[in-house]
Amino acid sequence: MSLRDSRSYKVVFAPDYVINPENYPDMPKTLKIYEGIKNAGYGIVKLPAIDLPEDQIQDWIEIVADMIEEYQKRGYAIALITIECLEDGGVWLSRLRAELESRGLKIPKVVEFSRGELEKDENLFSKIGSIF
Amino acid sequence: MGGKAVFIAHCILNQNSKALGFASRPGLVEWLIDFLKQGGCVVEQLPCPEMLYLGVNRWWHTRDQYDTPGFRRHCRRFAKMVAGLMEYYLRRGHTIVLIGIDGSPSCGVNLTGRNPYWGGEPRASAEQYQVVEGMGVWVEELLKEVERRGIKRFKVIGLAMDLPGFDLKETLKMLEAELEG
Repeated sequence: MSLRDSRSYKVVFAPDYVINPENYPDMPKTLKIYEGIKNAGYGIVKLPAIDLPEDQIQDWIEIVADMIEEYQKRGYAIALITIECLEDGGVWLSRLRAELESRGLKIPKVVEFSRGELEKDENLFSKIGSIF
Repeated sequence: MGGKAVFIAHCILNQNSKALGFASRPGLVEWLIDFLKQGGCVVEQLPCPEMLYLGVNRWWHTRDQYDTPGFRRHCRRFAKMVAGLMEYYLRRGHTIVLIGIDGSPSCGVNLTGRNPYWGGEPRASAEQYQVVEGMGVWVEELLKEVERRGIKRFKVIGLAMDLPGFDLKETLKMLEAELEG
């Protein structure tokens, strides 16, 4: 049993699209954001697909907010990745903001990616590498 | 492998959720995610009930410590959410696969950690954590919810990536065979 710990203390909360672009027929089929996160050594908290049935969404928002609260309390660096051309950033951003505000929590840094950036793949790695 | 929705233990994408001392990588377990994506799988991340219960500063626990009505109730909340997500993928024609972490007190599939007497004292030797056959509490509650909803039983795989003797080459071979079928 290994007891050394290699965690980065850096976590990004990311839309489903980042890991599963195949779930989004009209979007570029690229895993470049995932590759950038992997190379940068960040952990990922992936949100479910954006078209999840309405009655299931709030539960997921609540546990995402629970995780943000815990990581903030313990001093981890956290950020929220959004995709400009997906509804509400692909992460139910407005609802998540409302949940965090209702708890008096700080909104994490939001890093938005545009369709143009996804299509061109230019500077994606450096943008991801400089999130924190 | 196409058309598979693979539900993975939370820490596979986020090593920052592990109990202190057990993060083997800075961020994520890249060999597994890369393998699944190259195979055309959709990847879904389970919640980590340990982290959501005791936080990121927790020490390691045995299955015996997590086997309480309160922790099981906590797991059942997530089990309902995850089973709902599984149904979402089943409606889209995907096949479900679940990958847990063998040896884990909550995410173990074939192996878990037991010791009815150990309280998890920080100075206690890690060897007192006895790896034995059996499931972790979280996977157990998740599979109960799956059965309760009548979701057809799917492949459930345990990867012993935190235990001594873990063989990456053999694991990839096994995963390839399991995901082919």
